[in-house]
Amino acid sequence: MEALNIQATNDTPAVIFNKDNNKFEIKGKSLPEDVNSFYDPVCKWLEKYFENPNPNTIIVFNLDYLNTASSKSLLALFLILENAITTGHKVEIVWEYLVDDEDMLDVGEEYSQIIKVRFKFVPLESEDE
Amino acid sequence: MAVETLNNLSFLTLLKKFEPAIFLYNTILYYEGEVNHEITKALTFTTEKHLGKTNAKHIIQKKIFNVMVECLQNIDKYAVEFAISENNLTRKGAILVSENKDAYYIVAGNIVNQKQIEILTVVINNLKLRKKEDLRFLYKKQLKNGMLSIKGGAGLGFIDIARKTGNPLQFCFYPLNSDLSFFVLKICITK
Repeated sequence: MEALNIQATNDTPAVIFNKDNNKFEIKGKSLPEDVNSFYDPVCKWLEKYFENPNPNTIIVFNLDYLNTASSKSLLALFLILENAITTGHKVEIVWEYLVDDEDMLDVGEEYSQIIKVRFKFVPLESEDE
Repeated sequence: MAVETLNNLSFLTLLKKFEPAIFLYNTILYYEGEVNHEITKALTFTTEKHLGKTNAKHIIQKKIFNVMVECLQNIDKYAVEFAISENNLTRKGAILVSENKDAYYIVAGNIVNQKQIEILTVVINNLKLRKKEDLRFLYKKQLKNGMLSIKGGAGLGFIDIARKTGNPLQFCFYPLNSDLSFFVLKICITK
């Protein structure tokens, strides 16, 4: 399956989904003008991937900022992961956040309460001194 | 309804009416005019860059960025449209970011219709005096509901603003004519 490789822009995150080397990552800011045109291809790729996934899929989220419009699209993406688990696949989410960024930790925790996928929360060193 | 007559309206005058004191604080940014995605990015990134050079805490900078994005995207999506020429409609708004020694203030304004006044009043009043956990519950509920409708859960942006700032949202409406009013929203982010 061809890898999905979307470069980050100032209002959309980088998306790197690669079945061959088993690397899945979404990283950056998300406040696109049109959330659907950005997230629909990402969700479609994942749906196709879970027709025949790797034995264990770990998706890393390292989001610096997420607007509320994107948060709905991200939930749709998480539901694809939840579905994959329901059909017997192994999926885990790694939620990275800056150690002092409680808001971003909160966002992740809320998703983890809404969807039935295992979340691992990983604090990263802060940019503050 | 034609709103050409409102083209000359000064949003600044209306914001000053809402809270004259706000302009005595240190102004970081003031903008009044068309609001679209490019302008939203320009204003939020400019403010982010400016705050990055100050000693504002990183986490507070992010909250300000967050609130600005939600306010400007609300204007971009929902403000009543103006006719700038025969076939061109545009959405206008105003945003002020200022600070004093205790807090940062974001004041946003735009034109709304009668129906929007009713919705905004219910949505924002519903958030008043709610505790953090309560807002969190409401956010999750609205997020799940938002999945079901095309428009999304009404007010997710306001819940987000309320919980990230931790201070009650202040707002008012100035009637402009029989159908339209000027909506002002003030958000305080404690330093």
